[in-house]
Amino acid sequence: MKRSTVILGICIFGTICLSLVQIVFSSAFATDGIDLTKLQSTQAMLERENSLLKEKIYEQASLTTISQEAKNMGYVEDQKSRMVLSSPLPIALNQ
Amino acid sequence: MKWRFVAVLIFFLASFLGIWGRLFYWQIVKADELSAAGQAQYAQHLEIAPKRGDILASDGFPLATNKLTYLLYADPHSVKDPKSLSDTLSGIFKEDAASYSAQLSIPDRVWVPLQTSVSQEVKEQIEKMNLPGIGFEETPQRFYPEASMAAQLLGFVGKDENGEDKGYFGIEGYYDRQLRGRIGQVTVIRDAFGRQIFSKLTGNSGQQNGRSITLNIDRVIQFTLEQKLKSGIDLYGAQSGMAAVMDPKTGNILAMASFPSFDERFYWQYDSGLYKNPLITDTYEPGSTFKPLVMSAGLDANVITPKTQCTICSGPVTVGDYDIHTWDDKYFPQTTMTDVMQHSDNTGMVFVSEKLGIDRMLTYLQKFGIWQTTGIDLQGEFSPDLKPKNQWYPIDVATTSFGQGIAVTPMQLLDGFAAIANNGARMEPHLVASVQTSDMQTITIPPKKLDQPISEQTAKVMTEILVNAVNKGEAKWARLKGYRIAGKTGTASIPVNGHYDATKTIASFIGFAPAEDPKFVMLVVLNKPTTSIYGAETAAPIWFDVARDILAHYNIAPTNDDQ
Repeated sequence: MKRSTVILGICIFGTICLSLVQIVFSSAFATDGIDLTKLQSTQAMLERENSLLKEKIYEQASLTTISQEAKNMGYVEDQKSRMVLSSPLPIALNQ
Repeated sequence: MKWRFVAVLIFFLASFLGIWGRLFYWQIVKADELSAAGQAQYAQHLEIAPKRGDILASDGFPLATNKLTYLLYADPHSVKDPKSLSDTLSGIFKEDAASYSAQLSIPDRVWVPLQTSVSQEVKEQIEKMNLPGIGFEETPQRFYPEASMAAQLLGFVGKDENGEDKGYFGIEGYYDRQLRGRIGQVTVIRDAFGRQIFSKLTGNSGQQNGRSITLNIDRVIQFTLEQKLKSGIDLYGAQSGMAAVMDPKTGNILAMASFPSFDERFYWQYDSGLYKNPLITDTYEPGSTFKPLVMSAGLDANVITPKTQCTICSGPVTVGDYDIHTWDDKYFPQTTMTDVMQHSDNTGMVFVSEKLGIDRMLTYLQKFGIWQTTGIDLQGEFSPDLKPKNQWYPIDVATTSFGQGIAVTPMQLLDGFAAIANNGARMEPHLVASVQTSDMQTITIPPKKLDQPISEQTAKVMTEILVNAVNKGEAKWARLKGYRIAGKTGTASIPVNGHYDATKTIASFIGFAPAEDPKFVMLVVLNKPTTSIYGAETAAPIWFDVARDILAHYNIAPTNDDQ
């Protein structure tokens, strides 16, 4: 076989191979767009859910809500007796 | 034949030159323009809005954060029955149906906003109705889990001239640049279906979420203070009231409240005069709560001792054309300085001021921070100026000694008084404990000592005088048994058109506890109480009521030292 024919064959083969590789990678990237969109919408949904749950926790844990709930349940502030939670004395002294 | 070869050669050369020229024009001369035109077809530049930083209480609970709400909008052309839609929305949002109808009937509009601040639940409820022509847009909104707590301290978030979020007043205003963050930009490449192409996604440039701020505010103390102050104002029929609690050793503001106030969620519904924080913007004549500063000055300058006897206290004192009386017109000849404070004796304070002299008195008061802003990290702090010395008349010096004829902000008085509780050292009051950056680094704000107006020894002596004033003074009926508390009542007449109206007063109480190792210093001020004009009968009970809760909150047990 003539040398020039071999070189021509290699060039054509190389071109075909590179074209195939490009097609494969392009196809892969094209579907990544769909995956990315899915991931982004999942992220947005989770963030939204997280935000709503945080909002609910803050609302329920606020002193304003807790004191109102306590009032509704009939708790009243005792003005006379107070309990102070001081650190207990060591057993050796606490006799 | 030769001329034909030459002609073909010239033709090809000319053609190539033409192509090269054209390529040069497209790729060099018009490169930027064509590149931009190409990008416009497949690329999209998005702005990434920063998340505004949270404002947290000292326990990490957010006092201001962000929540997700929705803007309900409509495309009027796609709405089939505007009247029915208006009625439906009116039923849901309890708004006038006419306002929705008016929006929907604007001619030639393809997008009209109908309702802001729509919650997730309401959004889902509307979506289930399948109403044609409407849609929702996410809009983050400032959220205050503790409702209107500390409104004047936090400030609020409104819009600037460009429609961007901007903090106004309080912490939101003072730290707006830290809280707001920075807008970033990202370029996305989309395929023919409009989906993003992963490999062509450029990095986010410049976007930075706002920094979160942790305050020294103790949520429990703040809540207690607000509740007790509000009910105290109602109980004593006061026009308004304010109070602040500070850690004298660090200057940390633990709580701050004033009423009437506003709700930062609906700030636009309130008079703009309520936005400012009167504790730092308003001045008043402090009355007898000012006496401890002048008495401390006298003790520190060694012109008096606790046992020094007043030689001018047997009756009203005449200064220039004026007679100075005591608040109850009772006089105690040869009374000691300890008793002057106990009886809140104006004539005794005139005696101290005469011993001090104008120069020393003004110097000491300046060291206590009077006539200068405290440096608190809030927007809008104000301080009256010290008038020139040649405008001080003997009567001015005399009245200043018992807190009349001088104007201070409540924060100035609290900060100056706190020096007595802190071994004579005056600290800078501040609200912010630390700032968290978006990359989770924490910048801590250290306490700052401003001055040392009096010595440690003087502070200790003054503390004992103030403990005696609480235990034996007019407010002794309200004091907490079992605790050593140093404090002073104040009943200041209000100047109206150059005269004092005896029936209108500013009633106040200032003090710290426990006296031997102060954990807090607190000031309570009531404006024009009506059930009684005296601080001992109005502000003092509120002070002790709050103090009881603070002491329990700090697990400070009563001692047996109950003199």
